[in-house]
Amino acid sequence: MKLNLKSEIKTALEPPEPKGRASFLAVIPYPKLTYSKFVFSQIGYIRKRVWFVSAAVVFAAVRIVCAIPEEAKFLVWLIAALVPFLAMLTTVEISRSKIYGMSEIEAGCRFSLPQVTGARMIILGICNFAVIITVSILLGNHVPFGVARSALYIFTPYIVASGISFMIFSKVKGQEAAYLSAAAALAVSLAGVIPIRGIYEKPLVNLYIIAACLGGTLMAAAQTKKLLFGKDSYLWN
Amino acid sequence: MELKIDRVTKKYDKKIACDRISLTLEKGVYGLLGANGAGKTTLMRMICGILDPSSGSLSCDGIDVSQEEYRELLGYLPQDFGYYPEFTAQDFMMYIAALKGIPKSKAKVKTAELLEMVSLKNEAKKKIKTFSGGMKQRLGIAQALLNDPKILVLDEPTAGLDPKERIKFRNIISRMGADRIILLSTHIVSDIEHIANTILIMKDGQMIHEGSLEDIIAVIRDKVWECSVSCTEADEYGEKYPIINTRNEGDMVFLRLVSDEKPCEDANNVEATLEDLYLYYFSGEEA
Repeated sequence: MKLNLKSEIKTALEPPEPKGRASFLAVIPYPKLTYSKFVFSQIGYIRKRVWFVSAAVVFAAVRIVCAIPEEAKFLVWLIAALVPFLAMLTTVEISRSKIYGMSEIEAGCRFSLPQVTGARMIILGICNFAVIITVSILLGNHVPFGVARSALYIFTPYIVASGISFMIFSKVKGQEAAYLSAAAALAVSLAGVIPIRGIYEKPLVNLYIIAACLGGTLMAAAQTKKLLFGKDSYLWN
Repeated sequence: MELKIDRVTKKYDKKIACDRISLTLEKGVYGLLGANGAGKTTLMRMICGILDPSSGSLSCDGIDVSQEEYRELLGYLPQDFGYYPEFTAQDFMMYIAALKGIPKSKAKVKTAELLEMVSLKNEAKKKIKTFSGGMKQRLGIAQALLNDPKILVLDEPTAGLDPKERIKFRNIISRMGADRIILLSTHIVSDIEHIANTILIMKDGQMIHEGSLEDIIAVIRDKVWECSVSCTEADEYGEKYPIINTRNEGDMVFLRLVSDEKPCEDANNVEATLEDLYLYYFSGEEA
């Protein structure tokens, strides 16, 4: 058929409406998201403030090391005072569904609420771990007590604030939980700031810090278990 | 397709929210009626796998409700739901689509189609926090349909919708019921009357009726009366019979009531409706 005749027919005749298009499309299988792809898709839903505070903690450590390396051992406390706020923002982000009343709708989806919570924990856990390790290495190379102890001093307020914050979210509903969590982060931060200079060289302090670290880890682990495996959080109306 | 609910019980401390409920749901629209606290929401949550039953089991064609495979078939609209404050209607739909495991390209097409269906196409880019209650409810309905669910559970879907939207929604549900299981609860009895093939009535955690509209209404057939009486008589009747409706008409009071026998000389026997039955069962309870 001649090309110009073809185009003439095309313009002269209206194509018929497709019949049964929806039912035909409904039976065509489509590739579904795997859990790893789902986790990846959730990165875009993490609020910018979390990335901003994470970057601020790393930036503070870099500034200390570059500007006043000889003072670094006295300034580990400064980073230790910042990380509870990172912990608070992380727990708020993980518990977002509960704060904004999205839990029930999310629980009925293919990737259910525990899987959504798990995805957020994976993303933020990796990010926070990277932050703590980075600042510990940065500072640890400039302090007499080394990288491992620096990591302990920074990780302890982080995990204690996380444990307390998760506990608050399991007991208190809505925005109030976020405010209480912020207050708890401030308290943990101040608890590390008050003794300031030379604190890490005092006898027994390390024992207290190790005990606090273990306590915080246990508390955070228990609350994480509840979040990922507990179901009956939707109470009788 | 068969959704089997086998002797399901849910206890909260001493309160029994659902008491040994057994049902088999096949394709069609099921309307769940009951007063507040009757156990409707608890039953729906168990059907969605959100709540674990204290005893009994729920499965669809052998797939337990706790499995991911089951949730793939499910669309759920809870009674109350929130949203993340920064979300637009489109963001909300895309987020839920990700949770339902729908790839981005397909989710975009489906989101546009559903937002148009619920008349929110022009509001797709607007923040949900600017929406009215009815608009939020329509968005809730749209998200429940994203994965073209084979089991659709809707807890009070028509709450907050204006009459025009309610009728539109009723027609959509009616059409969809042809090839899927739809369970909806509402206090708007006429919605259920119009679209449900099977009506389920719950009271105090128990399923007290299950059947078609005709079967269910048979309980009060020939027992609904209308009459006009004096104020004193109206008070007396109020103590004696379940009153469905009352209206002042000058010196007299018009009554619609349920009685086994003719309550007075000039009472007229009228056709019973589902609303009569509902009020008959639940008069005196919190609406």
